[in-house]
Amino acid sequence: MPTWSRRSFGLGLVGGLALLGPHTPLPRVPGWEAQLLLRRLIDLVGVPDPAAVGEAYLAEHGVGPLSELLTRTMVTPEAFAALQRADFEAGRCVRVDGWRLCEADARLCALAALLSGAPASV
Amino acid sequence: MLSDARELQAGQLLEADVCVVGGGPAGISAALELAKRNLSVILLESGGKTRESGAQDLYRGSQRIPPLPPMYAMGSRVRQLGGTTAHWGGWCRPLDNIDFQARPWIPNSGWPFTRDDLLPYYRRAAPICGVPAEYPAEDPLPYGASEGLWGAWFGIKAKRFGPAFLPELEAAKNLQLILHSTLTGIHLDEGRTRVVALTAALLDDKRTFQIRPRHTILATGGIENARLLLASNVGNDHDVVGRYFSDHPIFVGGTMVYSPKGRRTIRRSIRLNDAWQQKERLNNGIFILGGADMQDAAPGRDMADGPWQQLKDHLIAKDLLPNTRRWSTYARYLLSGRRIFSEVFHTRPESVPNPDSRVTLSDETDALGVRRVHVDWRLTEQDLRSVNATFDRIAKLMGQYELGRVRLDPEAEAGYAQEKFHPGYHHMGTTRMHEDPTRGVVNADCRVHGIDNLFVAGSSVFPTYGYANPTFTIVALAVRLADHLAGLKEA
Repeated sequence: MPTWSRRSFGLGLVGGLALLGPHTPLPRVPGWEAQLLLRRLIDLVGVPDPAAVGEAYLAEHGVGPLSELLTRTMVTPEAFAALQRADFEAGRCVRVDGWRLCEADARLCALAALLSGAPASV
Repeated sequence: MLSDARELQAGQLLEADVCVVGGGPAGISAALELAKRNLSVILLESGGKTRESGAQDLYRGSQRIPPLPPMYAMGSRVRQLGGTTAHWGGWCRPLDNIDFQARPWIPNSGWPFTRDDLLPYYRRAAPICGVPAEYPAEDPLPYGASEGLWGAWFGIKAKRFGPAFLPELEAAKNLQLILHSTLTGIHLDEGRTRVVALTAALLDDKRTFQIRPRHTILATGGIENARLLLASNVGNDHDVVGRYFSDHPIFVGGTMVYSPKGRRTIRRSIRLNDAWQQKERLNNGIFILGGADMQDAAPGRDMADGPWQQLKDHLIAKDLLPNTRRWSTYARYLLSGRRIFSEVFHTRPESVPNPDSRVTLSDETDALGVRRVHVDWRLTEQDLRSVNATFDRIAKLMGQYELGRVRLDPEAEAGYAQEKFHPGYHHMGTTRMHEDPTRGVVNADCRVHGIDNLFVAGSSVFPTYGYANPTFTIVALAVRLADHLAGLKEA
């Protein structure tokens, strides 16, 4: 199994969550991105059809454990702070609605948007 | 000694070693210093002890809108004893080292002397303004200082120079303060190298009288000094008088959200230090946290003190109750301050000295027959670029050092490019100091080029403006000028 950074893992996780569309309030991810994220998720988890597995899991456990997974893996405060620092130091900054953010900030905001059902075109 | 033009006869002639025109912070400071050095001084003040509508109307003029608001020429100044300190916020800070330097990336920048040269006079200006004498020359923040993240310390004392110094002016034996005396003409000798007389008038009945001083100091403010020189056609052989006008463009419309670390670290004011300005080729400038409502809450206090301490400061100062806007600001602070500590801020950058930004005379005349002013304030593309670049760098450093995040209101940002910003009511540059008469009106001694006995005091002599409020430097320069004139007499 390939080695994934926490960041890549987070992206894969977001994609995976998004692919579960019919069973959660998440919006749809555009087609090519969905395929890319699905491929990454397959590589990461090692099962051929993670969406189907996820559907069954959600039916039994609901979405609650997903946030726990996010908290324990990608979004530990220390790990995320390191991402933010690295982005700012490298000048990976973006302007969003007047905010001067690093890319990690903006992506986390995008994740928040996905989880809150905002359009997925972010 | 206190007198009034109403007590003078029409055509009366007065004589003195020095006539100081204008009873604002520059004029009062210079006059008192000169009187202490045993020079006879006449101090002309156009207004009275309090504001009077007739005198105030002499300031009325026109202005380019935007960036200037309607009534700027009149509403941004106060014509009474004490001048515009009658409505100032009392912010005092010396200019920075870099403000005095000729910077290749700031056209027309630089003073003919350094900050160190002016430091002794800043120290003497401090008790006059009622603020501490020592300001930290370096003010690094605990984080990010090596990459330019510094604070800026202000002393704040809204001292009203009129009532504060009236007793001293009255008591000075060799000083005559004449209220309600408005300068209307400066008269030169045939060779146009010396002032031989000044004409002043009483607004009530237009009676005029003359002063024949050995030396004259114009101390009537950043707009009026130029107006009087232009109206008398004095000191303008090279068409510099009135040019290089600037104010401080104040841009309100941002928010800072602090991390806990930032809350312990960030000061009331943030700036990029001189070295980083040089590296990035930026204008000097400052971000002041708390917005206009909170400006005078607590000078130099760390943000860790939070809103409760600032509320306490205001209660001690007893200046909170009349200000309902301030109450609403506190309400927002207290509602949000516990979890997400955020503040609005405004920027106050210097602008590039611009010869096309100028004060000129209009065709309209005032009640005493002197032509009124037109103020045309123009920033440059560089000014706008520099604000954004400074902002981006401060935002980057705040993120990099985990101090917080910054947002610039997009509408306000767009508005800035359309000249939608507030002036700071700091009029500067119109009789700028430069050793070359083609590039400045006064020399390093504040003497008008080509005229032996005419001097200018005030922010009109600033050749480069900085972000600091100008009054502290105005007073320092006035004290320096008084020393110079006293030295001339002793020599």
